[in-house]
Amino acid sequence: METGREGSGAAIRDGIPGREDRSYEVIRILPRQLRDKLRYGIPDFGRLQELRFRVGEPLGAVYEGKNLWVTWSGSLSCGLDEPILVTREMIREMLEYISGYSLYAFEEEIRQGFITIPGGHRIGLAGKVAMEDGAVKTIRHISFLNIRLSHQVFGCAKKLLPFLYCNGRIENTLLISSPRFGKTTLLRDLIRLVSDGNAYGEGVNTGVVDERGELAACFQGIPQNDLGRRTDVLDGCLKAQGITMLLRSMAPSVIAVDELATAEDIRTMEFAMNSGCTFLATAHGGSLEEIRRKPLFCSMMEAGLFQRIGVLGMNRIGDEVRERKGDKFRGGNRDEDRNSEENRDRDGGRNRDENRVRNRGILIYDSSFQEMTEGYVWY
Amino acid sequence: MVLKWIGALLVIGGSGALGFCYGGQLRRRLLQLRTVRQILYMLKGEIHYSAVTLPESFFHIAAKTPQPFREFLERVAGRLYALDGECLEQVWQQELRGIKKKLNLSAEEIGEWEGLGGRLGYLDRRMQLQLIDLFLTQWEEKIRLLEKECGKTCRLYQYLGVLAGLLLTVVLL
Repeated sequence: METGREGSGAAIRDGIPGREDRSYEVIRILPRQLRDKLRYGIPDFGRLQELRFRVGEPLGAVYEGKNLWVTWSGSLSCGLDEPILVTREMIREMLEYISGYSLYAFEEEIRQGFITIPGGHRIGLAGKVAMEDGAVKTIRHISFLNIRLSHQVFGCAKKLLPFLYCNGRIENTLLISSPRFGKTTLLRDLIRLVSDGNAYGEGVNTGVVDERGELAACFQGIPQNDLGRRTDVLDGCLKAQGITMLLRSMAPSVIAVDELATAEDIRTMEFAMNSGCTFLATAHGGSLEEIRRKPLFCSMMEAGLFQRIGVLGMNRIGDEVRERKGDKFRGGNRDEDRNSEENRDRDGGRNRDENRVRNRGILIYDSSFQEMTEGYVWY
Repeated sequence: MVLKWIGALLVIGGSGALGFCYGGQLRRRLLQLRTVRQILYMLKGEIHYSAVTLPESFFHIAAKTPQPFREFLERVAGRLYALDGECLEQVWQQELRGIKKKLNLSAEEIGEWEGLGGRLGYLDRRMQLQLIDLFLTQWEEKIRLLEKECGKTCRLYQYLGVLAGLLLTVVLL
């Protein structure tokens, strides 16, 4: 059990910088021959989303939502001019760096298919899977690596706070959206704001059960994302067990979990709510109606366990930006898209992630499914 | 005459000290073998119970280990943390060469210790532990043999030293 704290991304040990220098953490796990090329070739590491290594194939990159190739000069290109061909040796070298020369220490992570490195970046692994008794034992001959760069968006949940607080206390809140709409990013920032305190309520002790390591992105137990000063993180623990452990040991006022998925999660959560804990949670779903129809959630929703239900309704990153008309989504408007792009360029790309998220909207309902926000809240 | 006696005492003292020195070396070798065994036990514990990475383990172990192994482990861990593109085997061998003069181990023992660096890190945890167990068995055997011989051999070196001094004195006188 680790305690999240501001600046905890600061050195884990001498020589390992904190969350403020996240590109460094990616550069240092690259093969030595590529480090300088990418360091100086990629225009802005803040906009880089993924680096994809496949043995025998060109090195790929996802930059601002576009699939590109990395050339030997280090630049990003749409075409295959002088591409960097990934070799088995490069993958072997990277695995040494990623695992700190100790693959044995990452058996569980390899079984799950990903390793989180300092900075909160996640390395996806693929190769020959070895099975035992119907379960994944390990991945051998790892030939595919996907470096997904972590980008925390500070302040994206600020605009939701007036709707989520009642008498200075945060309400049980469920965030619903389809994958890649940003609900985890939103939840992460919400945890930080609740933990640190904000204009609507004082900071409270917050427990996070981070089953997949996406909220805190812990490295060696230390959160790489800022989840606030009063946040305790149970990393890699099943939600149902983690909630009970936090209740017993850390006395949290608020517990946050990402992606409720099983009946046991919901039963444990209900038990914890009856013990006086407030919950911040997310669930996969296209709309409120869809969630209400799901057998897993219907009884929970009808019982009104959550006083606030947020439905995220924006297109995913990189897709066309929608306009706001009459507080409702009305499809894409190219002129406004262009304006939005120009605004971002004027920003010098400094807060591009933040701008991107500002173009997202959320509808907030109360426990009787009445819309509280009179249209989308843009954040 | 006085000078002759002083000379004789110096010769006997010198050769006796040489005998004690050899005996001491043997004791230091035994001590270092035990230290290596202790390092292996701690490494096994770190891998088995904590499942931490090798650099992390080396840092932990270094804090509880005497010189020159402390220096060795700290330097290896530091270089591994730096991720400068060197493989573990290379770093291990280079750092071992750096402390070689301070070691009392035999060439064969140093060679075996050097070889360990090339085999750490790659395998799964069970295999890693088996590898360390194998090393431990070998070192235990070395320690057992040396412990058995150490007392006798040390005394032998000391007697030989003194007797050689006496013999030289008689011959010179």
